Amino acid sequence: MGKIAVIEEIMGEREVKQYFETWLETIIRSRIPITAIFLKAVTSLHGSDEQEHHVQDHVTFFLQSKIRKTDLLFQLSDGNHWGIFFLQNSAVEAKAFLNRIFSILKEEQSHPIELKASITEIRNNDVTFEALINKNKQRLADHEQSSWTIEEIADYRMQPIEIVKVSIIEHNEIFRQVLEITLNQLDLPHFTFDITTYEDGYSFLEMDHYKTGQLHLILMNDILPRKNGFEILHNLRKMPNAKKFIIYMMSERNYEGAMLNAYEGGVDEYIVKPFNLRLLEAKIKRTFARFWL
Amino acid sequence: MIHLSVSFLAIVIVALLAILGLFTVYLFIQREREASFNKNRKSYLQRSTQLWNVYLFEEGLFSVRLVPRSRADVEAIEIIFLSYLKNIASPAIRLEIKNFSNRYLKEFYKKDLASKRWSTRMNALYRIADFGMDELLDTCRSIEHKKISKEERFQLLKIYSLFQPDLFTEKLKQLQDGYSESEYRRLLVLLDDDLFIRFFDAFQDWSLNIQFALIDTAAVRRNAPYVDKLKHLLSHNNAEIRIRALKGIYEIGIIDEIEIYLPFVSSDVWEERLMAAKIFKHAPLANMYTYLEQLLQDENWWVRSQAAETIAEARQGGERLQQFIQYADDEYAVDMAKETLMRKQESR
Amino acid sequence: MRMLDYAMSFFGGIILFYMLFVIISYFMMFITAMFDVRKRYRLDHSEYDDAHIDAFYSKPVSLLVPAYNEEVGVVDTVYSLLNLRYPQTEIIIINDGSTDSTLQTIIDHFEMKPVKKMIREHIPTKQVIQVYESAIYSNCILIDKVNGGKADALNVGINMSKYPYFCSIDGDSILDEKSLLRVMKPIILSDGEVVAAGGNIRIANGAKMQLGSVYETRLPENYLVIMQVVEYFRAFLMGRIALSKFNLVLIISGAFSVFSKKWAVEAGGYSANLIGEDMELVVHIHRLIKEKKEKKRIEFVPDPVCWTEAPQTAKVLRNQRRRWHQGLIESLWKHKKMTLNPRYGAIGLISFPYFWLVECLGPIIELGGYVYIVAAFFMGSIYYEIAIALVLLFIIYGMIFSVASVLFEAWSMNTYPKKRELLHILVLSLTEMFWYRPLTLLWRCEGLFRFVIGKSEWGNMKRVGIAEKGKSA
Repeated sequence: MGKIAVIEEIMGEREVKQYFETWLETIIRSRIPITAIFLKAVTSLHGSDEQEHHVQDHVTFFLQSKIRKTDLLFQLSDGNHWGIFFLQNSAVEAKAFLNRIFSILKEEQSHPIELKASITEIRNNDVTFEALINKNKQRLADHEQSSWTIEEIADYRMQPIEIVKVSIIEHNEIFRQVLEITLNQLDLPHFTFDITTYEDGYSFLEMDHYKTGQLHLILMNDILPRKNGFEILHNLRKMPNAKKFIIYMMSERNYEGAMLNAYEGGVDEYIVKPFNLRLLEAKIKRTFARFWL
Repeated sequence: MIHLSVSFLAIVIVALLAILGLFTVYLFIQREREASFNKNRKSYLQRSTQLWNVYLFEEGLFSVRLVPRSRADVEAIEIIFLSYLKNIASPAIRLEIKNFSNRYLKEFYKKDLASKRWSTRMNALYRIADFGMDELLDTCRSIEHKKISKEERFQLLKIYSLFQPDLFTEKLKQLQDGYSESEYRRLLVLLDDDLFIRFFDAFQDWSLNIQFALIDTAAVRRNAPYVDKLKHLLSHNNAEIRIRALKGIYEIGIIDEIEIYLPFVSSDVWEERLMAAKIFKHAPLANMYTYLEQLLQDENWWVRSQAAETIAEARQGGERLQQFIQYADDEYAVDMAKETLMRKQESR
Repeated sequence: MRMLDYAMSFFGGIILFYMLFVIISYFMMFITAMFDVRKRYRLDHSEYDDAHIDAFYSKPVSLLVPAYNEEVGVVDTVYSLLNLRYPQTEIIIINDGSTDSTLQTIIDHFEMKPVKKMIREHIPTKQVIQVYESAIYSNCILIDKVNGGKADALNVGINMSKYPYFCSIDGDSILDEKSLLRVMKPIILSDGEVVAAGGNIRIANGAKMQLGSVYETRLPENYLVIMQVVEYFRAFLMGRIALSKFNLVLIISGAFSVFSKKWAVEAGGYSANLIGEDMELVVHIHRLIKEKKEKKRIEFVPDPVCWTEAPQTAKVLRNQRRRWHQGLIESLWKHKKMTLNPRYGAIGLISFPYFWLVECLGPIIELGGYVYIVAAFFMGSIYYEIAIALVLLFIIYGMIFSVASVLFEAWSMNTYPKKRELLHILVLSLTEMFWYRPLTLLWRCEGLFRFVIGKSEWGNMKRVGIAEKGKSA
């Protein structure tokens, strides 16, 4: 009976499918990948059913003891495959996990179990649960594969390209153009910029451009005619989804008090003019690199 | 006599009206010329802003269309260059601008320097410094022999400091007076460290305004070696110099031996006591508390206020102030402690 | 009849003599101003401006905005202050017990939150009700206090301010973004030898502005306002610049001026019981400087600009001029012992007599001139000659000087660049002496009259506060 108790604790394909579909939707919005591991027990060809069940239970038990609370373990309906979803983790961590449990299993003398595995990192939502399982099963179906193999499936790694709104608010026309060109030429993986320029604060606030839920980079001067940068900052930061704004403030005032006020008001970067454009590019790159794990 | 003066007045009026009439006509022609000048400038801007951008940023090819052909073009180029220089820090762009100016703008500014109009000469001097036109250094030196204004002389000093530091030192020695502290600061802040240290080593040779500017400039440079230089000044017999040195040390924020600041706690000059209270921010409260408590009971409002703030800002400073309020009997000091505590709680 | 003859020639002589004196002194001041202003024509200020935006070269300034029933204008004023290109400022708005919604407007607009703050009382004032701090701009403070007049409101501001210089700005004025930087220039460049500086006032009627920025200047349509534009040009070219050059300035406009806090406090701040509190402070500081034998100066700076709304109706204008004149005389009267007193140097020997004669009594003599001409016309040919001479002098004094001011302004500063506008002002300035001049003279005489008879009226005069100009808008 104890055997059944163990099996009851682990989820099956059907239940996990529902979870998976919910998670899939959060991948793009939260910019955090999910990684799936599929494991297959390499059993000797002439083992009895009884023996096989015993090995399977053993694997389930072992895996259950190794996963973290945020990981989800399930067993496929054929009984010989296990899946683990690592939320908020990329393939790198999954691989480290596999290496760790494999080395434990290799040391294990009393119940020799041999496994092989495949890793799938999911960074977009163009995948169904069934496709995922089939793909992994196929990959592990090859009998020639030796034990302890780790396969990687890269089919779902492509991140979708996200459009980021960029608003440049700067009074000097020539410099405004320079900024626009610089940002247009900036090559960021997974993001494209949709740039609009404004010459004063009022014209920016008048346009409803900033009211959408998209990620929005704002590059503005602190002193602007008609509503200055601090007022824009205040307006944006009190909006319900203020987190979507990445605000860079440029200033020619070399005065620490102004800088403190700006950071306290919620700017992400405060750059004193004149500044190096390469530095600005690097800062923006770094800001966006942080978005995907 | 009155008769005479009436006709005389009539003549005067007619003459004045005639002059004003002519002046109006002249003014209108002038307006016309200015309008066409502005149009030319605008057209250069429209034509070339993009080209300049490509040239300066993408190491694009130099286009003959960038070369100025008129005064209006020069003004347009000034607008473009200044927009770049004021917003973007890039040695490469600076160098391009310098080379271009030396080559194509030199003659224009040379002519301006010889102009009779003061504002034209001034503008030229500004641009020479902005664009780094070192090839005009000799022309600049030559106008120095003429009778020139204080403002021009200042701008010349700035140009020397950029292009020929030795000459600058020599000229500054001759012109020790006459400029304000803030002007001397503007000159000193541009110097490189070696020269600046040399200036500091000769501290006593400078006039008071330059000495003040030296101390303050050392403070904004935030360089550790300057702390030692400033420490030497703490025993200077001019109180203002001592106060500024203390302020500079506080701003640099490197306090290695606190003992040398302790005598200022009982100084006769309240500004020195105030600066001491500030400097103690950079030391652990436990060591400084006795002195700060003394300063908290100072007769001067500013000193009390600063002492309270220094205590409050430290870790466990709030508790110390609470205790102080319990046992102290100096009414003013207690008030100050209370107010500071209140402010601290509010800002949380 | 003989008596009348004597009287007529006597007055005729006095008026003629006065006119000649004024014309010559105006002419000299005009020439001085001309060289001074034209020298700077097309000078690029950006060098200075760009360097001094760095806090290292400038001194922090507290900006004081007294507001009494200014719900319309005050928000724009504060915006213009927020947009100033200046490294370190604090904005202190003082609501002087307004009866309209000034307080609430400011609280809503800048998200003012009540805070506890101790105010050091350098100058005794009426009671402060509450201090607020903006949640948006941490350097922006609002003080709500019991009504006590503009001077009292400014004094509260001085008490509250934490910086060594303060700048007073009327609650219906707008500052150009660089004006503070420029008005501080003489103070910075003289290492504090200049203890007060006043900026140039321009008339905002007709200019297009929004949220504290003027983005197009246009000549106003109203004739009365255009005449005031001409009058400002005149006052500026034939008075302030020349006087400032020799440290003789007694008036810097209260709408936009910077003072050293130390000196203002020493002078006891603004006098709460006087109408012309801004002029009185200047005179008082001059007096202190001389009494302490210090080498300090007060300057008028022609370039930095403050835009202010001018009265559009004769009624409001009359009120304003009457008050200005009364204020002027009060200030002179309060410090009358400085007049011709060698102890006060050039201020006592030149400024004071000049102000008494030309600014204070001038309107009576001039008005007398107008009366004389009319009287002579009725009394027959023997007075014609004097009358004609007078008319000609009036033409020089009124018409020619006005036209010259307008032209010179156009040449050197170019406020109204359109040709049609310039012509418009020129033509109107030709008519000044026929209607505008006599009207303002009359109003100023009223002010003088009020000073002589009515000290009792002072009490409620001060309650009018600065709202007066706002009403016209």
